[in-house]
Order: sequence, then C-alpha cells, then structure tokens
Amino acid sequence: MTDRKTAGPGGEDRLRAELHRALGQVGWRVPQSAGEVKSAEQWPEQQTQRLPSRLSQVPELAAPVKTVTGERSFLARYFPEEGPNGSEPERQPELDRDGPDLDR
Amino acid sequence: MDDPHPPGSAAGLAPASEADLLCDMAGQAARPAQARAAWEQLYLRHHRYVFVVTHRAYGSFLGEDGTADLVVDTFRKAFEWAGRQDVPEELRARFTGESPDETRRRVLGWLGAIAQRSFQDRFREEARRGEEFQEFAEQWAGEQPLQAADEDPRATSLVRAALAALTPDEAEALRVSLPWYHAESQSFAVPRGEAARVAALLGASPEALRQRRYRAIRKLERSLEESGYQARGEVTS
Repeated sequence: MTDRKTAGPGGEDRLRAELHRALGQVGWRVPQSAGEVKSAEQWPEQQTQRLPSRLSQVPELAAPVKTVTGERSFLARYFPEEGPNGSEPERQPELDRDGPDLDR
Repeated sequence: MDDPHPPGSAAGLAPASEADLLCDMAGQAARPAQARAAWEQLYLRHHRYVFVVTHRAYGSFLGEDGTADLVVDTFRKAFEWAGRQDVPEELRARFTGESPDETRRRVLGWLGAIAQRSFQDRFREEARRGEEFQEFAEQWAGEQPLQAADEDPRATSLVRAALAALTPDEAEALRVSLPWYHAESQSFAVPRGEAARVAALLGASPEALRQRRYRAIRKLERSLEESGYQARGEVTS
C-alpha cells in the first residue's frame, strides 16, 4: 500500500515511531497501547469533562439505517455531489504522496 | 426476595472483567440477552473514558456532537466485531492481562483503535468501510503490544512544549493525519480520495495539508533536539 520509493531517505513526510508514540501520550492520538491508556486514565478530564447528555444513557445497539444528519451531511458540506454521481470508488486506493519537496 | 442485580443484567455483570464482558459479547448468537447486558456494562463503565480520549484527539474536527456519534459508533462496532469471533473463550484469553488493570487497559486500547478507525471511516468511501474494518480488526488484535510502558513525565513535558510552538495550521495538519500513520514505513499513507476529504475539512488542498504536516514534523524534531529529548523519550538535559 505504501510506495516506499517516494518516501525518500530524507523522509519528507516521515514521523519517527518514538514521536508517534509520544503524541499518543499527550492525547493527539487516541490511546491504544496499555501504557498509553494508563496515562490517559489519569487525565484531569476523566473527572471533569462534561459529557453530552445523550451519552449518559446506553444507546441502541443498531444504528439508524440512513440518517440525514451525521455522516452524510458531515461530508456533504465539502462534497455536495458525493454519491452515485460523485467521485468513483477506488478498488486499490492510490496514496496521496509528496512529489519533490515543496517546502524549500 | 428477588435479586436486584440478576446475573444476566448489566448491573449483575458489575464484577466481571472487561475480558469477561467481551467473551459474553462474543456469545451473542447463543445468548443474546447476556451479550447485550455485557455490552451495556462495558458502555456504562467506559463511555466517559472513550469520550474524553476521542474528544482530545478529534473534538476540534468533529465537535462535541460528532464526537458523541463517534463514541456510540465505537461501542456498536465493538459489539459487532465480538459477535464475529468464533471462540469466545479465546477472546477472553487474548484480552486477559496479569492484573485487572492490565485487562481493562487492553480492552480500552482496543476501543481506542476502533474509535480511530471510525474517525477514518468518515473520510472513506462507504463501500470500502465494512470489509476493511474486519481486516483491520484482526490485524490490530494480533499485533498490538500488550506490555504497559510507564510514561516519562519530563519527556512528555518536552513534547507538549514543542507542540505548543506549532502554528494552528501545522498542529491541525499533523493531528488530523495521525490515524493514517503507517508504522512500518514511519510515514503517512493516505489514499488520495481520503486525502482530499481530510484536506477539505481543514479548508485546504491535499498539497497544502502535506506541506503543513511536513513543517510541523520538522519543527517538532528541531525543537525536541534543542531541548535534549532523545529517542524512546529519554531526556539528556
């Protein structure tokens, strides 16, 4: 899936694994390892964050079949023609990659 | 006198571990009421945690309402995935740690992975979401490190300071890209259609998003190097 030929040894779009993990510690990623969860359980918001009232009740297991609000409108703001007449689904998605470094 | 917390109810499952709850959820074909009760117990215990961590990561993009949608979606997907596991006892074993805390954190890590995937799905072609989720789920469960690592508060403090120096555009570009991080290549693998949608969310082009992300990473690296931050979070000064 990843075209390593374009990644480059200089790593114009590379993020070291250590930094990726560090971003999890500060909440920029949703914690996934046990260590990250351990830290996240100590965040002050675990006690102080106000929850949307609808989350205080256990939701239904089945999602609505189709919703006008929610996901469709989320993207429709930016892609009003999304859907059968919009962009074609890709069988094997081409990755969005850098060409030459454009930031020099 | 009737038991106010019968074993098959969500309240009756209060003593169960998170791994036990996943095991019950996996048995939803044979014991749907038990599975539903287990799912309710999991939700009641951890919906706050899931909301807090997803709000921190995605709240600026989704808003409070969108984040709440993500939370509900996460728990639903967890139930659906559990129901596809053939052997519930294997699921219990996979998530059971050496202590109740470790067990809980493994399951919360799993919920976090689902939440991240749900966020990505908002930018994915609808036709591709379902099948790829199953593939992702099996891969994640098989590869995730299960050993807890302690945070280094000094290193985390340096990272926070470095992030604070980013411009809002740079921070946003890096943060929104993180779900597409590819660990093996240590780079970002964003399919083009999704890249366009993600960039549009920020009011930018895909090229601008890449440039901002690149600037953010360079600034971050430079700042951390100057502050003495080393690989693995060790601080030299």
